[in-house]
Amino acid sequence: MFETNWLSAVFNYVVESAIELALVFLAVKVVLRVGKLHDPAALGRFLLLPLIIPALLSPILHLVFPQLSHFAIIVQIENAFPALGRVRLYEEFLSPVLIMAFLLILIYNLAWGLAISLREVRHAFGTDLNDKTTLTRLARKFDVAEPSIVVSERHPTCAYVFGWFHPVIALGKDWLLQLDPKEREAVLAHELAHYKRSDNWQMIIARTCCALMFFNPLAHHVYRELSEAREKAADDLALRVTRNPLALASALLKFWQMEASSIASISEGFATRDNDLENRIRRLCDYDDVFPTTNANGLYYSLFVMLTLVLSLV
Amino acid sequence: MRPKRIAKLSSLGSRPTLGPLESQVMEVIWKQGEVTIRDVYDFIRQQRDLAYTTVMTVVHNLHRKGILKQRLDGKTHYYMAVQSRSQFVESKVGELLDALLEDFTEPALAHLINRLSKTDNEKLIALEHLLAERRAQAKRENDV
Repeated sequence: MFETNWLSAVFNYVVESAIELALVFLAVKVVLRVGKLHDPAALGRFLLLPLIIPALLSPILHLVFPQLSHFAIIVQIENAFPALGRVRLYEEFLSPVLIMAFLLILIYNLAWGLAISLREVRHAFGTDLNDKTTLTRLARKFDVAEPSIVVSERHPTCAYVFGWFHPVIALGKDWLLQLDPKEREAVLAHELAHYKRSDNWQMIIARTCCALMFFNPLAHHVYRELSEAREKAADDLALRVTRNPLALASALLKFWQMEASSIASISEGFATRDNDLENRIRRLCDYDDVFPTTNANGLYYSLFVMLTLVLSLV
Repeated sequence: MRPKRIAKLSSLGSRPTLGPLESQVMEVIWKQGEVTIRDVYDFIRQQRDLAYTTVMTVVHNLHRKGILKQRLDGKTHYYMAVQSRSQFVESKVGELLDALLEDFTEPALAHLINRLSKTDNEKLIALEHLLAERRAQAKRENDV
């Protein structure tokens, strides 16, 4: 399979996936600007496409329809500038490799997530915070199964949700002790919003795509923007239930204060992750109580999916 | 346990890095390289009035502490620094930090982190004020 000029094909993949990603990302920005879609939920939904198209959809399409290779960007460039010479089309034999790699990385990410979750549950202890009523009410409002809470001593400032059919919310012990009931409710609602939106699944897929395009800095940028959009979207969904943005802002501020005083936070501070946190807190402080709608952009979304599918042919 | 630790830290103070005159002498030696006591005395005399024997005592003390080394050429003693200025500063800072971290790990680390994340602290304080302001605003609106 690799006897002929495989390096040239890899080069072709690197270039084409970079161009596809850049085009789709640009299209996302244009659609959001033209459609005046300022809703983070919409941004989160759109931003998965620039990652998934070059990493998975494009190789699948080229594998199923080999004749599409004629539309490849690299072919167009070669036709326009014959003096540049020819590179080997990656679609001819790299597509199955890329799809296999995608599946393997996906399985690895799932297994890793499962291992971390199981370890967390094994080392956690139950909470005696008497949140049963709050949890039942939140679960009913989100229309999800009633979640369990585990208190983590291993990660004293964490908060995340996992579980397939039944949500399990892990909360760091130190952070939990600092939260008052309203802040705790806001945090629980935020985590349930992640579960309701299936953010974990989408982020696993995004992480897998990002791993396949590790060489492309734009892929990492898109992943980070996607992650930030999903956090904001979960904030919005949680606020529709709790209607208390200041409680969530206060909980996030306490989280940041704890992180700032821990040794492990030095590197994170340098990595400017705190800027995202600051943006979120400021956004919540200035929340205007006009909750964005998420179903009005269906037309834009459909059109955009079609456009990106066309782009994925190249 | 605690009094013992404090006593240990105070022992750090009994071997201070350098006194004011010692610092001045060392600055001259680091600048000049190899010097005699007369050279140091002449240099310092340009800035302040002090006895030759005072400079001699300081140089001998520095030699005794191992900060200076001595070379005899004929009947003249030459002195030079054992470490360069940057090496000396580095080793003293290391000693001081090691002692602090050993005896007062948490406060020392907390202080270092606070110094490193000064910008974060400023942001956090600004956000605290913003949040308090919004809460007061919300309370006023609820009261009305």
